[in-house]
Amino acid sequence: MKAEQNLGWQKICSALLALAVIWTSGVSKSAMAAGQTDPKVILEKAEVIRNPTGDYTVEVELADTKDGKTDKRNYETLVKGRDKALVKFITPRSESGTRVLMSGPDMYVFVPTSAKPVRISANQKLTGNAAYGDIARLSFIGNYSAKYKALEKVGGKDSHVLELDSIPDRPVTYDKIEYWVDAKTMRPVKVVYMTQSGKAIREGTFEDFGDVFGLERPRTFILKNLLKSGHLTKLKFKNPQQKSFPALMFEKQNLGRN
Amino acid sequence: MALIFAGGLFHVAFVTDVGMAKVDLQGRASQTARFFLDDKRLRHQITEVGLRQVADVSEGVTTVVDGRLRYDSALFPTPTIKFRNYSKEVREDEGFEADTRQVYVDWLTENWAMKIGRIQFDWMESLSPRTSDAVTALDLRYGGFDSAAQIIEPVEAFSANTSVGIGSVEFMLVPRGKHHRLPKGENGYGYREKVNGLLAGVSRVLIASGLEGTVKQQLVSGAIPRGVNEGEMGARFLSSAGGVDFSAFAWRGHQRTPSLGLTLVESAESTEQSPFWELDATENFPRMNSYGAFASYGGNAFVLRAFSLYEPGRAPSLVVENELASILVLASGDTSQFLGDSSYRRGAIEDRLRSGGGFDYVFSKHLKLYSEGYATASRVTGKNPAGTAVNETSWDYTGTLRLTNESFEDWFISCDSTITGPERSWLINPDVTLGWGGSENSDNSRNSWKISVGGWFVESNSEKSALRILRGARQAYMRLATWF
Repeated sequence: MKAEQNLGWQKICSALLALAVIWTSGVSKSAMAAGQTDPKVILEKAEVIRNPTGDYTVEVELADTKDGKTDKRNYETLVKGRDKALVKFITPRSESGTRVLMSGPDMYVFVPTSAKPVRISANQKLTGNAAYGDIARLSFIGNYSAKYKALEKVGGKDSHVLELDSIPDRPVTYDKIEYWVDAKTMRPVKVVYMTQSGKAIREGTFEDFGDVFGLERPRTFILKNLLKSGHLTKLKFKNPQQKSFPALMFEKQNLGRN
Repeated sequence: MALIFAGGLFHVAFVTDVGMAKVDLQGRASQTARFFLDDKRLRHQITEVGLRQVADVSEGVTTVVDGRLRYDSALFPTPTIKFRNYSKEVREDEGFEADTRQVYVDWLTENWAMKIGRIQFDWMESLSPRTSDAVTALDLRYGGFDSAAQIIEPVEAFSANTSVGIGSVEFMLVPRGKHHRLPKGENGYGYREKVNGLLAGVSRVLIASGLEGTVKQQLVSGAIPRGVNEGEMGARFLSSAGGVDFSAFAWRGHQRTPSLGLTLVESAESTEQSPFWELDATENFPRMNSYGAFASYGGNAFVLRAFSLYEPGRAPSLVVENELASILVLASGDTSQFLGDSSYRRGAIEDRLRSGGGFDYVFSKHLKLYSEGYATASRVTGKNPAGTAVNETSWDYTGTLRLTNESFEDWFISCDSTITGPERSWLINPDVTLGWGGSENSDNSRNSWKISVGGWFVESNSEKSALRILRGARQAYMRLATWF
């Protein structure tokens, strides 16, 4: 009986010891990574990689595949700072000349047939799974507030998971985002776009990392529709060039200019 | 065609001179069939080809040449399709045309954005059709149907835009302003029909009054006077802060819609034995100023808009010369039966204030809603045909709703509707468009094709409504278009 009791205490002590080890290792790990669990810092580092901060232009090739049929479109995106982007439609020819301007919280579209810019809401979609913000690679910083959720393994690598909630009155397409960031390299890994209620609707993965303006950045973004299987939208960012643009180029009244 | 050629030469010369960097040539072609639902009316079978060349000639400098060629085969006889009711004037005016829609140099610097040349512009920030009669001239030959780019009349202009403090200012100079383009003959869209009916009514009263001799009726097409003092100019301020967009403009121009001046003159061919009179309805486009203010706010799924437009010193739509008015009043007593309620003696002035707002909401790709409503208050001061001083105030309203649906792959379904009051008139434009790709290009893109089927169903008995020109021009259309 005594021996059984001793065995019981040993089990309890072992379990407590194990818990203590787990807890202390957790503390030491989180202590070591204290700077890296600050969601703002993680978001800032990941966004610097995902999206260059200066003025630049990049060609975007969009391939939307649905039910085995692929629709290709081409755009040219001019980005100024973190909150201004001008998307020029190149192909298909019927949409050539169309422009979309994102300037802070304001979004406008210019369609050649309408001959004047019209203000639109951020929920206006582009084509397939992609939104204008995806083409312009608008920054999450300033548009979303970040919370640290967990450390998860993705493809065998530790990734920070951030919960991003849209800031009221910001022109964002998605209300909530879960954002996976490689814990070691701070590279963006994937995003899951969600509705206000938390329902996941799209999953995006960042691929094809290569040298862009001196940093290894993703050059392909693949969006998967989680509500409809077999619907994929691939965005390839090509031929990036650093270039400064006059601020007037990003004014509504100049949207129809060529 | 000569204009396109001249524009092209100017373009090539300019591009060659400064050294061409990047040139993009785009083409479009379409075939549109329009059938009036009232068989007494006419139809159109329009073939259109357009070319647009954009050249980036150097950093910040771009040249644009955009031309359009149109041919309406329904206006000309074929072995199977005979002439319908089109007059020679209509065939000459609408049968064939080739013109440049835009030819300009665009120069963007760090502090200025400038354009010089033949351009199209519209400063009104409104969804509703033909909201402004002051700043932008429109091609209303077909009642104003068609896209804005197709109906905005291009003008030779210089514009400059620069940043100032919390916003930016744009200046525009148009040496030769244009008025709305109206049909030269009775083409089924109401304008000529209305004028001819008016002149016939006045003639009957004149003859019944005992006026001896023959009365010849005619519409004298007027134009905005030429000259240094007749140039048009304007400025607007634009600003955006806290998600609110604001702009305001002032424009010194001319009235775009004609004010018909009715006069009766004895013809030079008139003799005592055979008196001969000319009853003229002369189109006048007097000087006027207009002032507009606009604001908008956008959220994730919605956009709110508001606007106000003030146009003081307009001329009423029908002005009767004093002597003629006296004869008509003496002859009939009540001139409203043949002149309508909106006729005044020369010198009458109309001040107009138009205010409204809009709301757009994106539910999903299945339903997007765009709406706008505005009210117009008009005050006319002057004398009525009887010579009595008047100070009349009237008002009307216009509501516009646009719904779109993109539920089905490659299909775009939309329905535009407009309603006006208190004298009720309405317009509904359902449209179904199917798009598809054509042959593959070298850049992996495809030529685009679109086929649209729809109709314009309209009923307008109001003299004041924005739809007044359309009368009952109900029509169905089918359009096949390609871009290359």
